[in-house]
Amino acid sequence: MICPLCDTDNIPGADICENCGMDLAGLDVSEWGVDPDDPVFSVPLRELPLKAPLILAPEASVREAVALMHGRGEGVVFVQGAEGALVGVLTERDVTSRVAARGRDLDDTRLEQVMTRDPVTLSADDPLAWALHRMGVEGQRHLPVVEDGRLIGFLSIRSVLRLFLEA
Amino acid sequence: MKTLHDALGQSRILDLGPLPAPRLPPNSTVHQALPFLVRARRGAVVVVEGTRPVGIFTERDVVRLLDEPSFGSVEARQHTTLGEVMSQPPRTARRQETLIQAVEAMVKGHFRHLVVVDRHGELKGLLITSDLVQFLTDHFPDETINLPPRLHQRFRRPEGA
Repeated sequence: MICPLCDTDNIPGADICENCGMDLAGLDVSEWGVDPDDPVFSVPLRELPLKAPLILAPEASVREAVALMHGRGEGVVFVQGAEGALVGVLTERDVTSRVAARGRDLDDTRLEQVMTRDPVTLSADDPLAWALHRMGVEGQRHLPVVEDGRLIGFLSIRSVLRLFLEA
Repeated sequence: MKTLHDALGQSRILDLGPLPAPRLPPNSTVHQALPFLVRARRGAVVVVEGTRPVGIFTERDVVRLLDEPSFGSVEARQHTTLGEVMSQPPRTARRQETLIQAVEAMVKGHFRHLVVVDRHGELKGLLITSDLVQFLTDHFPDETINLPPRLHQRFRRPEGA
């Protein structure tokens, strides 16, 4: 590594510069941190490839939700009330833990009985950093994105990974 | 300063620390696997013969099976073994692979789990998409973590003393 004081080329990992005695300890340890101007963090969600949501009513049966998820190869169904407002969400994990593991009947169970109510939504203007926050800290894999009170799509954890590849 | 891509390219799967992998033998039933899926919250169970992964059974498989008319009853779940319904062979990755390699494998292969093995093919963990996002939020806290609990919240007065 190059001594920042006298430009001597020292062996990697050296603690002291062999020429001038400058303290080199820790200087070659790569620092974590990212360019705060990295555009990936600030891109608004509306510019990302949001996926079209599968939507059912709260009265729909889990049987319908399972058929829709399996048929479309999707891991989440969003539940919309009569006024078009998002009232809940049902994921593969919910189906596994709240329906299959508890032995509930698919036809007799309505979505409103097992869905996660009032899911956290993000606005179309919010930056990707906020979506990452929810996915990383809260462990959510599907984030509904809302504009003027309407669900316009959702961001999946897989589309986020694809974005990292291109970044 | 690094880009996200740099960070993923310079870190390896082993840098993520322990990656819990719930595991069961192929003769376990789907009914037995359900509590493993629920408690571990990893989205999948690795099916193993001894220490060697031979398949994977995921939450998506549960949804697929529930959609089959014959599978609705608890009795059916008690008679179906993981060996009959698992995906095999499982997609694997070595611990020395970089995170960008793992992301590439997941994105291109359309799967959300990579079974992590050592050079002898023995099970060492289960890598899931959430681990990768978690890695980023852990390492870039200023950009992603230091946010108010409710994102649109604004404080009228500074908090604290």
